[in-house]
Amino acid sequence: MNVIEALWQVEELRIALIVGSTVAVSTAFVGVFTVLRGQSFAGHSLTDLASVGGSAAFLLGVNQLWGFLVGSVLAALGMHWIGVERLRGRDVATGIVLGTGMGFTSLFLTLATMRGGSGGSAAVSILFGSLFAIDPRTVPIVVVLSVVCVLALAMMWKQALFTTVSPQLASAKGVRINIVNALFMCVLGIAVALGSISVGAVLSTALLIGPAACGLAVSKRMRDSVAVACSVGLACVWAGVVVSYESYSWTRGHSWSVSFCIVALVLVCYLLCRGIRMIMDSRMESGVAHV
Amino acid sequence: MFDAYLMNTWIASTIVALGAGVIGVFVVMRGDSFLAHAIPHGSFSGAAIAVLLGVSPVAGLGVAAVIAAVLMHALGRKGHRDAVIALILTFLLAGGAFALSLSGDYANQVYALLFGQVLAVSDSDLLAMCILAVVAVTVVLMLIRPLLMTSVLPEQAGVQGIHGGLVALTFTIVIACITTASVPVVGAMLLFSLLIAPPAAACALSHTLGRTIALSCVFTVLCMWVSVALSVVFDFPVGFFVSLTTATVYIAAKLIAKARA
Amino acid sequence: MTRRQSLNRGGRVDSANEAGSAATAPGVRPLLDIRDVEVRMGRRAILNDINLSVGDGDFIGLIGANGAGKTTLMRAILGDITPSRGDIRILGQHRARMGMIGYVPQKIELEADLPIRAKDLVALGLDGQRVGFGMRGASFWKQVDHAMRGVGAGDFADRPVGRLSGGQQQRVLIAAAIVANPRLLLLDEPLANLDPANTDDIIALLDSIRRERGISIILSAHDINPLLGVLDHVVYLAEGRSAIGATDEVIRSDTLSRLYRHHIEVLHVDGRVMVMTGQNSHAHAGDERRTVPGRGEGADDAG
Repeated sequence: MNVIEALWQVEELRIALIVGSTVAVSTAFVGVFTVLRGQSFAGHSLTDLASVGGSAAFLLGVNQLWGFLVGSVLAALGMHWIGVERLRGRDVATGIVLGTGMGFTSLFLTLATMRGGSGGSAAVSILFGSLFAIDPRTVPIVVVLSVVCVLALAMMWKQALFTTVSPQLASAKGVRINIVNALFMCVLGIAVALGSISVGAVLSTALLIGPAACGLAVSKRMRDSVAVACSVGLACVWAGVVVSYESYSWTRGHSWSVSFCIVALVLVCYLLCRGIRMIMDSRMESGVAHV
Repeated sequence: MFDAYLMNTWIASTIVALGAGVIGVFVVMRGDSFLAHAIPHGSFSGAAIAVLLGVSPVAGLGVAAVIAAVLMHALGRKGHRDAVIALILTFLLAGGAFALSLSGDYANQVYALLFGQVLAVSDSDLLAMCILAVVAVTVVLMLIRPLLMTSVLPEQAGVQGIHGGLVALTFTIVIACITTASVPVVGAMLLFSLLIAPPAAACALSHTLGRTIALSCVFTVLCMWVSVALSVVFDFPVGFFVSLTTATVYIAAKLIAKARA
Repeated sequence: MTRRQSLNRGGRVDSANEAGSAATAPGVRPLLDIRDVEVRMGRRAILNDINLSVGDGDFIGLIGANGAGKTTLMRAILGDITPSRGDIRILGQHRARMGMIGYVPQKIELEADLPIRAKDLVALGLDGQRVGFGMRGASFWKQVDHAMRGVGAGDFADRPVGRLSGGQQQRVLIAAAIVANPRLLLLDEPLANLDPANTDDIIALLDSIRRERGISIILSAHDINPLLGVLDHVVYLAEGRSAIGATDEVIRSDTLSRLYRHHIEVLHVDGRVMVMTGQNSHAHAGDERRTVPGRGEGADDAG
């Protein structure tokens, strides 16, 4: 407890923990639905387009969060307009759009670096993020956006689940699928922007998909999955922040990047959860065989 | 622009373009664009670790690209593809950035590897890139029929005694080879565009395999030359121009195909 | 106990068939011989006690609802699936020699931009397994041309295959399957996406292939009606069980009632048969549990 209290005294750590926690919970929550709806690829693609917004904002000297947010929400609505089902990893046109997005990101970052002189590593933080470098003024916006995400999804929980499991039936029962899907894509866009500001545009997939996949692997019920996902997300962010901060003293000055720590922990958690799932499955098999 | 110190870059980019032009046609036909996206991303960490250790980045790229290729192949076959692979890729990217942060000159190295660089090619690198590209293209041409068979008639391939898994693994390693040869110039993030867009454009314009491959090579070489030239003039990353020119070629080809129909 | 009994009674239908088949070729080992085959996926038996013997030039229909195990049986014959019990032999061998079997799979997804002409696809049926730069000579293309004309695909041999219509693609795929002169041709739901006119054309084509080339054909379908005139034998699959025999032996109220274990009415109307299964149509028997998404898989195959 004392360690955490001590950590809480440091301002940049406090900001990192506040932002990290709210973002972890909201992205994990949105992530469960994303994975369940089979839209992981859409979520992953959004990060490429969010980074265009983030880097443009960086070039213009605007708060990066707004850049991420505009890029990602616009892209999400665009995807909804084209049809999310049509976007698949093997689709050439989608890939080319994403490639062009990455190309512009590289251009904006280069321009910003050329102009800003020492702006190089700040530009890299667009891609790979740093929870320790977040502007304190961004914190309230992050919290508000997280709450908006969670509330919106909680309010449309039933409809979103219904349209996920059986779109035809939902439509027959009078759920307005198009509106639910569009709203969900907006929420997904916000979540991707939040993930991007925390661990970087390139890595935000880890926060979105990782904890959610953990939750869905170990639990059969939606509520439990969401609970597990949020806990895993929170745990990874906290542990990542602490490890990264402490590593400064372990390695004499070369602290480990916080994004790397978080992403590595998420991957470990996911592999653990898959292991647990395999044990659960094999128990079930052998149990039935004995009966 | 054609100064002596840029000669290696011109030669390397031409070779890389020819290799990508041939291999890309099969990537597009097999629907393997996912691999073309994943393997370069995965290889980034290898190059980063090589920089950290003071070894040639091309060697690091090669090792990491092959490991990433085999890993993607194994995971892809098991069926649970997307969540694991997305996580592993982000982990490798994060790991790469982390490794570079431990060595000096962080930002520039990250940039060069992610988005490509004009001045990255030494003589020994050039030789390695040549060998890799030639090997990759030779293997593809040798396997041209089984590759076609497994991409167009995958279910009939077994009846004709083709080991589909083996062909897929071989081709995955071919992608790893061309990735290793290309990333120093084009960048890990944007190699995808070069491997996909010009070949897809060629597929839209031509109906026979021979002509498609030839056209694809013409497109990739033109895109690379224009990109390198613009990159020398404006001092922006090569990858940016590659993504722009290849996308333009793709859109133009699609429009022409539509006008013809 | 009741289960065993009903299987035995199903077995009587089989033995009637085997006797008939043996009479056509006494003493000669059959082209394809399937004995007591069972295929399980996890705990569920997909196929159970399948017995079938196919001679030269036979036309066999695998009939059943979606999910009844038609594709599984095909893949077991192809050697992609090893049966958990029983034996499948092709001319006495466990693995078919290369070129012995031609196969036309169920789903065809040829993209419109595929830079391959129809005849290039058929050519792959002849040398798709070859490694190296070898050239294709005049006699090679003659054989391809012959196969394409044989299925009425000669006119569009030079067109890109991805731009052909469904019926045309079906012909090209059949040409690719028979170009190497196999003894046995397997077709998985070749009629699924065809309009009635094309359906009749393809069936007539298959009938002529087996008569002229002596190739035996096994074809799966969920509707037996278009095939009524041409089939020598029917393998009717339902709920892991099977009934095998001549068409009019199998498509009868008593045989199918035994198979489904509740009363089935078979009606003959205007030369067509209708299989009535009471309140719920059998075409949906296996489907329901498939459409409910499995939670565990959801995490994996999410795009």
